[in-house]
Amino acid sequence: MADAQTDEKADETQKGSSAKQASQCAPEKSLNASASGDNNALDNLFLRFEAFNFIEDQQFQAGLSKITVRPDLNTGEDLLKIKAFYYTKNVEPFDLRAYMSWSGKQATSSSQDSRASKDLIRTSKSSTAPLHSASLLDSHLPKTVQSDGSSQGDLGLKKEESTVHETAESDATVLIQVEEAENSYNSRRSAVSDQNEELSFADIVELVQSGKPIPGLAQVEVVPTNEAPTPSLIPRTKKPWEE
Amino acid sequence: MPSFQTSGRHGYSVQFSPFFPHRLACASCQYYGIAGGGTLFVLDVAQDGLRPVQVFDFSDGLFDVTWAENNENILVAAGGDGSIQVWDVLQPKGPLKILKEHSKEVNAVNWSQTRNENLVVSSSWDNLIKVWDVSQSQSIRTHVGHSHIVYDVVWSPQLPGTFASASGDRTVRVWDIRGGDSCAVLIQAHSEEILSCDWCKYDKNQLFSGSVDGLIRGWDIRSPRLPFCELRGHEYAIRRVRANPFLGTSLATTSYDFTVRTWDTSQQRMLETIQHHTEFVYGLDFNIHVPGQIADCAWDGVIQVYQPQSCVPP
Repeated sequence: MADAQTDEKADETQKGSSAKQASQCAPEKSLNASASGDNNALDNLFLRFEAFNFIEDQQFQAGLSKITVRPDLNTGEDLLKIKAFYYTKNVEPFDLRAYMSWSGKQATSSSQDSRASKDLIRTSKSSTAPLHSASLLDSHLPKTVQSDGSSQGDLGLKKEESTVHETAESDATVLIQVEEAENSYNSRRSAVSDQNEELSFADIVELVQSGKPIPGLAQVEVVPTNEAPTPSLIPRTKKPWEE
Repeated sequence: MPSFQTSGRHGYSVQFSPFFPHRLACASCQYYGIAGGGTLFVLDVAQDGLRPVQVFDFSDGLFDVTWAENNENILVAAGGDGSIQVWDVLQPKGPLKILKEHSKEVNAVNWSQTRNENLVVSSSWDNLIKVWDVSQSQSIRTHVGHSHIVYDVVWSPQLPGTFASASGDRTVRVWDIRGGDSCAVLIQAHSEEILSCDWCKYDKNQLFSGSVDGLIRGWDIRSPRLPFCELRGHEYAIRRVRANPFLGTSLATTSYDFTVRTWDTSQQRMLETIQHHTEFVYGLDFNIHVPGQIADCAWDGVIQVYQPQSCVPP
């Protein structure tokens, strides 16, 4: 246990200090931003965005954990997209595409933010996948904000109940018959999937974020049957490594 | 090569049945796991592809599945609502049980691999690991220690009561349920989040980890300071590492770089790159009945069953 605790403390110290660095970093950077006019304003906006303490923003973190865009994806552009949504909604208008090209330049000129350039590389690499294409990303991001001041928890993202109802499945009796299962499977799926399969990751995030109903959202209420397991007829076989 | 389209569902995890060589299960989510429900597919490998034997819908995304080792009909799935559910292939009406103790998404479930033990271990976004006897209504242990999401948990195939966990806190830990509450071994394994781990089936001290840093590392739990092997090749995060049940030096991995790769751990080299998906590849399992056979699943909604030459024992 001693080990585990030390480890956790070390972890926390690290987090704390990097967050601090981020916030201290910002003023310095804005001093260096020397360009005038729009560029300057843009620089400042992007620096504010970078300095924004997402890590300690409880609303952001609560939202992030809710929307199940799992944190293991967070090293990529998905997190950036989410941050941009949140920032636009809750702080000030923000153009992610412009930011990405800006941060790409920053990265090459100062190697300051290798993360951002990694995001760019990944976006271009994945251009075959609608999910990560830069153009899609752009067209689905809100370009302006109406700041209604409403503090929406969860990044304004939540699991939205759809008005479209997936018809409950057949009152299937015993179906170990493959054909039957297959048919019921096909009829259940076709209604839902055909027109919705094309919805990309960005589409879904946008629909959820804007509070619009998501077409074909599965709405099943599942309750336990509390039945006993079907008795087993087969003994456990030896594993290959037990031979 | 048999394949199956999980229309409208994004695959997260696959596992072959320990009883039937032709049967596998796939846990999946609607809409990338962001919204909507989940579906548990039970599929049979047939001549013309994979045929659904049973299809269970659930009210939240399903992120992992494990077969029971003491009953060929039983499966346990990991739910986005923090529950684990017990399903019976022959009972289509719904899960026999829903056990909900985790406060956030359950990422992984795994059934004991050693004889005479029938426990399920689950790990969650809530940083906790729980051990269950699913014939009971409550968990029997909770393991606290990870300071971030626990992405994967796997029972040792050799050491009774022992499992390994992989976490976003960048550690891999080994736990012994017969010991105290704290972990038995702590490995500072990577510089980024660790999404998966698995045990070598032929050396009880060997463990493998796969991380967001794109590396796979092999560890000897008796001397976990430095890895005994490091495997490079994936371009992005490694989502799942699985050790070959027929060959102690063989591994397969899935990644967000859309590929599956196979490895030789003794020579520390990549053997094959399999590119049959068009999205993040998530699930991966070896068939314990068919040497070298693999199933995988991805966000592109495709499940593939195939036999890479590099995984077939000589």
